Amino acid sequence: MDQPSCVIRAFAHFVDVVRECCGAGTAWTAPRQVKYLQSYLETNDDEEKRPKTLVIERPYVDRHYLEEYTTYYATSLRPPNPHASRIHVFSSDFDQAGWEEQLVQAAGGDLLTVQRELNQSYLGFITIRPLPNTPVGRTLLRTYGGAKGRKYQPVIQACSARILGIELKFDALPFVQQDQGVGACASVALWASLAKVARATGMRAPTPFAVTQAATKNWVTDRVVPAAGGLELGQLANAVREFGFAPYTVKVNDHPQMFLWTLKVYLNSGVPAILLLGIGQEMHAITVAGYREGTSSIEIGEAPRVHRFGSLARIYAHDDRIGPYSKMSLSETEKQEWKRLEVVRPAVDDPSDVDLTKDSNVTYAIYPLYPKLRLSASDLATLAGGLGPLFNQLLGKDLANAITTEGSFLLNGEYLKDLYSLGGDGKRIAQMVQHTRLSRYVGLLRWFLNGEILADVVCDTTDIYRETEPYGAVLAVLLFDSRYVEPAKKMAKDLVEEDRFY
Amino acid sequence: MATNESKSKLVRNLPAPAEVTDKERQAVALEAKTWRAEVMTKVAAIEAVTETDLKARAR
Repeated sequence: MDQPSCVIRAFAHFVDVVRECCGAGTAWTAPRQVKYLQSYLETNDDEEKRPKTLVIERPYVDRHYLEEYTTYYATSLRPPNPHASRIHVFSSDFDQAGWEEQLVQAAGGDLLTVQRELNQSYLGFITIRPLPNTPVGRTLLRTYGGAKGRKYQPVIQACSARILGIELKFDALPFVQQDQGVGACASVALWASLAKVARATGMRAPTPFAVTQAATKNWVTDRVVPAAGGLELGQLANAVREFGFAPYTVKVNDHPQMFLWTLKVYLNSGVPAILLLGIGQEMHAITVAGYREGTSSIEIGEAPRVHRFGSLARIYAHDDRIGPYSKMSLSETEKQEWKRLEVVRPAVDDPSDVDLTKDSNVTYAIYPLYPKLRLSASDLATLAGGLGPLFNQLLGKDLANAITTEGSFLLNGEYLKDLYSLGGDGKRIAQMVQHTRLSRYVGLLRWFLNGEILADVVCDTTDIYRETEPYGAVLAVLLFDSRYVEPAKKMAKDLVEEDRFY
Repeated sequence: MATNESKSKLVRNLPAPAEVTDKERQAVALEAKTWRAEVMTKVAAIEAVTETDLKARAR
């Protein structure tokens, strides 16, 4: 009888399992990414979510690797195996006999119970390519929990994996280790971001090779494969367009606070950011999958015109040199002649991690946007500035410094669902909903006072900001304290039409 | 039905709003114009991506 298609091993043998799956010999040294994956899974602060068991699926046909294989490896003199392996990770403890019992139970008609139990302890999967130098293929792992203010939603997406017909569901953002044969760090950074936005709009996620191909289609600077030469920022923008999205590109350019505002708005909108980091003379691309909210505020402008929003104490980025959800901090540094945004990778499991981001600064960000999302994060900042005096004046000087404003773009249905859950004045909210025509995606400026929600400003996203009609995008202003509606109307008489206030 | 947790997210204990005067309304409109202009300068800076920027190469 053939070897079973799923073999069970204890997580303690993770590195050995990877070595066997990638076809390396015993002298093989695990790449940094493999060590990181082991450490990432083992150091989950929720002890119940630490890994115990591996289910190894061999052979596994991976569409992403297969495309790389057919376009590159198949024509080499000594091609690797066209099939990959997939390692599923569970936090529950079971052996081969225990796994087979569950399979028998599922096959005997109790699939839902088995599915539910396995799903509770499922941590995701790692595809292992038969390439000893770059073994980590498409990897989807659960994030750590929301403790410590970590925020991965809505950037991470709903994913599913099937093991012998047992479907397991979880949230993740795909990661892959760069293989210079077929892609650069920029290709895999863009691939991770496009995987999310494509799926969110009902499209099939592209493969890393398809991204490299799209990036080099109209802007030829080097060979498509091997892709060791990397990609230019313009080529990344080109690839975003090729997949039907609108590339929105910004640079720090001495304004790190405004840059961070756009980063936070798009992360809050479920758009994974691709950041280009300048490291000496080189550039490196990473994908931001989430962040940890800081306790302080970032301020744009100077008194009395200060726009405050919550800081990002950490970002969690897919860095193909390290691994998925790797912790980094962004700090605004300022000297007389420049202002920068430094990136620091703290020493977590490997002390040499720190060297990876030594002297590195965020330089550019590129966001693949839904094409009809024409109002940008920067436009929302302009609107926030245009409404700042209204809220400052309404609450008075003493409270003005405690006002913060957060921005996001979301489907109108998602916004209304969130709004209904807040428990505000149902009568006024119902009136607003009945009398306001919302665009498919709405721009939301949410105003807070000492962290409590003060007001929502809901904006049309289907047009750009126009200075000739600065408040034209404002569809509704909802004040959660009803006593402030009439004063706000009076105060904003020269800005926003009265009938937009609820 | 809203939970107590979600209700607690909404602003509470705000002082009663003050009467709005014409002078304040005009000041708000003027201040809004200045504030918008200041933000737009910063926006223009981060959006000023040039041809040289587009040639930045990530490896």
